[in-house]
Amino acid sequence: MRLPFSRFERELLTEINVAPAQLYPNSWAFVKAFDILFGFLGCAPSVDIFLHFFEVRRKRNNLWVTLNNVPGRVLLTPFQQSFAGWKGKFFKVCCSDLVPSALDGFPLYWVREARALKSKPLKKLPPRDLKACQILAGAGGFDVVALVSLEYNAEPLEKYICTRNFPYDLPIPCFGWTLA
Amino acid sequence: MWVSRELLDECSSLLSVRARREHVGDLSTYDHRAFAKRHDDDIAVLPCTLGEPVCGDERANNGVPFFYFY
Repeated sequence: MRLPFSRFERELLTEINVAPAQLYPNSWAFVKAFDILFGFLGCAPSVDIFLHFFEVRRKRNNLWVTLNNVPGRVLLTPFQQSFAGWKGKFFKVCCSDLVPSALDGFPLYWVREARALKSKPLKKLPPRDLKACQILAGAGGFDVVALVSLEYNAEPLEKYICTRNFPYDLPIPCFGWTLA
Repeated sequence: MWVSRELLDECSSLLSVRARREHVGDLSTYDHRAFAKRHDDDIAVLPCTLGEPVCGDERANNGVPFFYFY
């Protein structure tokens, strides 16, 4: 993870109404990998597209929140099948007076009313996102471990994405995506 | 009590003695697992107090806004 959070990460936290610590590690890995994938494509990651591929589920007591692949619509594979021991390793993140906005734009403290959201169906997406979702669905099954580990290695990242059924070499604007 | 009992019950046991030791110890020996912990002059990463519920708000931090992460 990198701090401060990206615009996409802030928007997603706000949309699902959770504080950063409420999301399970695998869920953060999905968010990070999605951000990396769109960054490679030169596009601004979209919360609507993300929520087409993922559902938001609340765990017991509605405190912990997970992001889960929609069955039959797997864009990203989980970072790890099972995490353990991370609940005792919390720390606090504060910002300096120089960048007070580092904490703007998302819930800071635990929220009881996290939004459990079903995935967004294609028909509810704007045309530009609809096309992007169709292309991503065709390429699906990106390995989160690969994307996260190659974040700062452009050439291997490109090679990895080349192995997918992804028309990444087409002019991005033809998809109607917003350039980052 | 400034946090709900339900929230406190869920979170109060999250910070162990071992976690506290790791928080205040050498970062190079910290078990980062999948995630790297970074900070710079604009972002401060602070250890939690032993037994501190991670459902607290700025009242747990002398009024300074923050968020918890792991």
